[in-house]
Amino acid sequence: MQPITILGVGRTDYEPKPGVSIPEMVHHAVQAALADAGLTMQDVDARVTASADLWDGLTASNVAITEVVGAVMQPEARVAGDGLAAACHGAMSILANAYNVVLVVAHCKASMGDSGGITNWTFDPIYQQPLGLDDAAAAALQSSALHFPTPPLPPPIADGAAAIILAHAPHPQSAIRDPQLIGMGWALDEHYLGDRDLTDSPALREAARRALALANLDDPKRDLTFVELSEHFDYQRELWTFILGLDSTHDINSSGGLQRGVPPFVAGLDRLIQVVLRLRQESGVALAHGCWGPCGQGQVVMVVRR
Amino acid sequence: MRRVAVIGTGQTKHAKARDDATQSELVRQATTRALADAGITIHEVDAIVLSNMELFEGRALPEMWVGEGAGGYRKPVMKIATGGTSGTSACIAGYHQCASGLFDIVLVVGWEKHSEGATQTGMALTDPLWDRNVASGAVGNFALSISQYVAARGVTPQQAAKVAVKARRNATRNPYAHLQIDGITVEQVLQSRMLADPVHLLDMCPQSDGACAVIYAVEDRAKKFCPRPSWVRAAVTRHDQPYIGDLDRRLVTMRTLRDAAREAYQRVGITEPLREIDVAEIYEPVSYAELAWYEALGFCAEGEAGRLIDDGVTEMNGELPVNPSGGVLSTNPVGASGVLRVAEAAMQVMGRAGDHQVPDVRLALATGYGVYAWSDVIILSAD
Repeated sequence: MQPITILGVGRTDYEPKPGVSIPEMVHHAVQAALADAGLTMQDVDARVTASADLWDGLTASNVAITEVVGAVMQPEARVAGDGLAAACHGAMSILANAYNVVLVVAHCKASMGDSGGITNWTFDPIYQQPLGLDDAAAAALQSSALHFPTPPLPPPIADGAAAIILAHAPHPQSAIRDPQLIGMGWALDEHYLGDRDLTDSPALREAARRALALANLDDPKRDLTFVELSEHFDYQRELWTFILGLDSTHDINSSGGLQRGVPPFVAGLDRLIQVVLRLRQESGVALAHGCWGPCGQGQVVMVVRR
Repeated sequence: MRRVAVIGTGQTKHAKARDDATQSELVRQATTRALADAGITIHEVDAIVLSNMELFEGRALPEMWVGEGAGGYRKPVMKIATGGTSGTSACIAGYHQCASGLFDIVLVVGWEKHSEGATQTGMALTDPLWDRNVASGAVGNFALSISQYVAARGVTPQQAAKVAVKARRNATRNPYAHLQIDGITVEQVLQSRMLADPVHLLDMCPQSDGACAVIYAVEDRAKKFCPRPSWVRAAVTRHDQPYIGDLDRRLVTMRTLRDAAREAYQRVGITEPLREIDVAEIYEPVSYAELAWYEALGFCAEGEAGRLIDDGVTEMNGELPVNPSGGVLSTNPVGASGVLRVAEAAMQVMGRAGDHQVPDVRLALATGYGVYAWSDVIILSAD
């Protein structure tokens, strides 16, 4: 694939923000990304946003942020999934030559939502939902299947927003600084937990296979300088590492990962932001990973180089 | 941009309550029919884009459960949700993914099962500080905007009722349509229950259960699989202010649809839409909105929409048939409604619209409408 430049990144702090509304959070992240890129909203051709209606308590939850993402009389698409998947779609629309500069934004105000109640509604309503399954219960099943020694630990609950700016070509003033997206892949696994081998993730294997193939990398152990994984529960770090063909000797989640508290749906996009910030300091090839749904049913991988 | 065409479509029978099928089964039916129509199997599909408004059924990440119904097993699957425009936005997203060079065949599937949720309650879940206190679901907010439109343009309840009659009459020739009211008359519409002045029950779209799928292919695949592919020529999105009070007389101005149409026409080289476009499948949630969209889409001058319907210009045998399928007024599973517009427009170009086929369609228009005033415009052609 033709490389895509990541011109700018921005995010809020991640913590419960009882006094800050969703549009305010998103505004801060977007303005930070624009300033980082040295652009104004007028330079942005289109937006891809990522959010979840049930977490926001809003129908079409991107309605709340139309103004702050600059979508008034402009194109926007919303991916109802992890922000890294939204970034993939933004990159696809650039590769299609539909747009030159795309703003990708993810937000979640997890402190307002009831995680158990909401994620129970992810499970099919006939067989699994009535059992009372939620993301935490599914994680307990997965960590048991892995013989993980301690109960699954989720990150602290946090609110926040993250934004990146993707472009067809490097900005002349920052071409040396800006990392490039050179591979991406995403995939969906089976839904029924009983149909899945919870010690594996064919969807992550597939997403990574696609991303690494596009990046012309055939040996992740050798080719990846560092990796930022979305471990929505502590045990997942080891699992995703193993599935990616890496081991504990690799440079993984040097940023602190999600365990320092990163909101759902923002998580994957924040992994990409951490990759970009570090690649600005040192050259290399890095992998950003996101996942969403029970036991990482949806998986997304990006490969970035500078 | 790589050339991309629609090579197959499929939809379910739409109904008030499809108690015989789960959401996943509805999606599977539409997908299976689209694959058969395109003459391919799921193995040839590289990626899938889904469309659904999860809060209407109260589901979180519904693609997790329903994705398998679309054949999404270990494939790239993404869900797009932007209110009423979800379906057309998903079609635009699928088009971009197919044109990206990374995928050759992309499946788009939209669905909604309103019978399993509380749609108008969902629609009232708007901004909690300002808008929610006045949120009134689709009927209330349209009654407000229609009153402004009627005052500005002088269209009559009879003219709006003619739109409602046209849609339901066309729907009787579409075996998949939800509302099929044989012999419906203007009087019947005007005598139907008043929902919110001036909107009568039969002026309004229904809430339907159903699904619809569209399959895109890049040029060489499209020519291989389809004798008459429906090429995507333009796809434009415009969103607008989130508060209804910030929108200047929505149906009168409808600046998103005007601007999206202007850009799409420019890309295709359309200067006289009424004459050049052969068929239109537009997202008309209420009879009066179709009249307003005629003006915004440039089918007529401002204030002329009533005359257009009086003169039969948009009837099946008119100069520009609008919504031969029966439109949203006859079938409205929200996440699928925009996909249905694109599918029906593509079917017309491909010559596969059966009893509601318009003869010799070369250029077709599809639009999406959502939230208070968001618009998508897509133009398809035979070459």
